Amino acid sequence: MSKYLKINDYNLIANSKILIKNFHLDFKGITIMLGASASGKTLLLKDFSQSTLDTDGKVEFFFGKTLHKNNPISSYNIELQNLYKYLTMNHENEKQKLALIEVLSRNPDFLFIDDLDWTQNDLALLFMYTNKKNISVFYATSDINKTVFADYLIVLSDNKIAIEGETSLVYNEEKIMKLLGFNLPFYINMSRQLRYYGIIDKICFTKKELEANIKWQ
Amino acid sequence: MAIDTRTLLRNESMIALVNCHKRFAETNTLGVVKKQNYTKNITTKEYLKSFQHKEYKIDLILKMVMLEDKLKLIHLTDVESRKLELARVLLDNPHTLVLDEFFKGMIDKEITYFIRFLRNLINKKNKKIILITDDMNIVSAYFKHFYLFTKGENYIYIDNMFDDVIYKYVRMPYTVELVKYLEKKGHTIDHDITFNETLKAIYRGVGK
Repeated sequence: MSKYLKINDYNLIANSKILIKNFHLDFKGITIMLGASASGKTLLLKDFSQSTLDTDGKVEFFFGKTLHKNNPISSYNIELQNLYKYLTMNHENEKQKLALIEVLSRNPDFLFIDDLDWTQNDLALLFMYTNKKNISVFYATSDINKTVFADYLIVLSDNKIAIEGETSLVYNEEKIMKLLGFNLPFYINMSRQLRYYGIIDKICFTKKELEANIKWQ
Repeated sequence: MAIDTRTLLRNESMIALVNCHKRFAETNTLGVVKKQNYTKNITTKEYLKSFQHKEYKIDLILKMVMLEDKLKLIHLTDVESRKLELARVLLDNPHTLVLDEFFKGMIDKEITYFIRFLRNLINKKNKKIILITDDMNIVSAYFKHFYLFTKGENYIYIDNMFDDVIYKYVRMPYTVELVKYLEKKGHTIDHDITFNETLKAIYRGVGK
């Protein structure tokens, strides 16, 4: 039976001010929270990490901190070793990736992650792993291009949830997203325009999807 | 070759330095904007006042960089820190500004605003801007050429976003990634890396 984690009517208060009001969450799969810098994303996650959440599952948080002492990668199971091997192929943020491997090794049911400065490929690998292991992920970011991985998208603005829903439905609200300060992710935007010209039938989230769906002459 | 900002800026008002790890030192004519880790429990306005600037100028500059005056330094995000340092540097009024990863973490609306802001500084205040960044999406959108640092202070001039040497050091922008991918599949696409031109090129090259 799958685990649940619910957050209802949560107010984030900082310096006697309500930074985010009426936040709610009932998440499964990958939920991404998009918001500008200083919209409260990191504070919200830190607040959650210090609260007792309504859940029957195991919850872990990752704020990007590296470990003082790393366990050797060989001490983890083969799947995590493989994940680490592919994640560190471009040698960026190796210690941070090892620290996240350590968190994943604890087999959480729910994983909250504060924005990582990783490539799209690295994030894709991470989310493939969490999907396979039925780990529900809540990922906070200010980068619209990272939202392509989300099953569910929450957009913060003006101290509240401005828009939320299944990711493709949120992308349909292009004008609202522009008002909130976001252009659509590159491949979403490109495929929407190509669909207008009849070169493609569906909205594509990635380069591979776009290539696979273009109607060649 | 050693970095000489005057040589780099000779014919330009704004240049980009990619994969540059050099730390620039502030002088009377060179202001450096980079993220700071603040330890004092004072507000953004109090911080700028500590540099002996007039209050009305501080109020104005904080509005221009979209920062509230009562924010505490210790609670600032990286983006807010860079905005504050931009305010501080502008109050000093140097001739040249070095912006170190200034756009990192900003959303599209903020990037558009600050690009316009920097262009106004160039056109109306005769400033020169050096932008240090590894974000090739920004470089390809706003620059026709840039300097790529290959090792230490060695750099080369790049005026072709499709030059593979660039991507040994930094990530490819989406437009270049898409065009190169399509070319590998045997489709000839014009090498113009704006979004709209890439879209038109795909339509001309591969459309039904």
